[in-house]
Amino acid sequence: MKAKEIQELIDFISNSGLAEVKIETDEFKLSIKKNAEVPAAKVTEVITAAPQQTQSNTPAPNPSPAPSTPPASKGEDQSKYIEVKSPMIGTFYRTPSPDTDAFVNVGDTISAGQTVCIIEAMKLFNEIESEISGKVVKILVDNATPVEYDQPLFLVDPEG
Amino acid sequence: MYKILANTIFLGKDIICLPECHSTNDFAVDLYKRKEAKEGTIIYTDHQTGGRGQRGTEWHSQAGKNLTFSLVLTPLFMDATEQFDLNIAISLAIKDALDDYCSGVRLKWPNDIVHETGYKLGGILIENSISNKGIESAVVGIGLNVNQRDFDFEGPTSVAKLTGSEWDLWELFKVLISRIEQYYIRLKKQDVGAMRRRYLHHLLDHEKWRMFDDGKVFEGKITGVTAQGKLMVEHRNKEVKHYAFKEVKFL
Repeated sequence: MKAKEIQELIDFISNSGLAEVKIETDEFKLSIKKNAEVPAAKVTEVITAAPQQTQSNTPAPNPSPAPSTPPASKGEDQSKYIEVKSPMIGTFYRTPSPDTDAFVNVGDTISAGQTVCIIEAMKLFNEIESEISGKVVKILVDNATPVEYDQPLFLVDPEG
Repeated sequence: MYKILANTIFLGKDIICLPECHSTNDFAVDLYKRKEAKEGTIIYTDHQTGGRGQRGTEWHSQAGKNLTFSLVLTPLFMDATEQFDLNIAISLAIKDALDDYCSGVRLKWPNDIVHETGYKLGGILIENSISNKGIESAVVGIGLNVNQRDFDFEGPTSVAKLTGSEWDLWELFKVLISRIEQYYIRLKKQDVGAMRRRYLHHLLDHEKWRMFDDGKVFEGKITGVTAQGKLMVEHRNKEVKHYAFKEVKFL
């Protein structure tokens, strides 16, 4: 199952009235539970038995866990925040070009579809659009540093 | 000025020709964001004044001598993690088109078109826009040295320098666009296995021992490219390491 398909499934479920979905095939087991406080669905278990993968033609989602989110700052409830994650491996850039202002800063209000950063991978430049609207609470990655697939980049307060 | 290509299905049905342009990629990205460009739109300029390579590095081009253009694609069928395949498809299309003009054209990882002597003929700069649905748009910028013979610095060459004669830019452009369209349609049909093999086959210094620098100077040979586009280099101790761009230098 591709990352995009999982993403679409999550979108579908989060827009449906279902609270919990479990899917199991020979190749994988997927369990998605909707948290009442967080609008986005959360994948609790992904791909227990990975399908046969070959290096050459299966750019499957990285089954190893992405680096975890930084620890919550003292006393602050972060459960209502949503993460904007990296859709690919690459280098994270906060600016459109080296000598311009950042796409977004902490405190900025962003809307869904707005470009929030660039991820460069093998000289391919990717403008990443936010899927959510809200206020940027924290930027989790330094400019011009490498990021992994699914690594959280921004923390956004959807009620901000 | 507007032009239309007759030998294609969707690519180049809407060509915007500019006598001068800062960067055809920037122009195309802006146009697309204003919903004034769609899949197949091409921005073509006789003189690109601020063309870019890697973030910041400039692309030097004499007016009216070379091909500089950008095309807009909407490859929503591609997963963001598979985007290197688009680079492969475009690279092969350019290589096929140039093969009609001169011999010894090779591809240099990750996105350069070179002569087998190592001199650079051109480059590709792809800028994608990614949403949760996938690759919403890809602006593919292509710069090719065709009739320019003098360069400010050592490194580039041109079709004219290699063949000894000048060529009709618009004819070469038409061949390029039709090849790019063919490869893009193959990409859409998920025919990537053969393309990846072909990319390796034409890759400069594939399976050849040469010197690299990954922080340490070492002798290695390119054995392949991963699905994400990382370069696979075998060291003398048989270990194969995967490198992202900038993690390894060709010496």
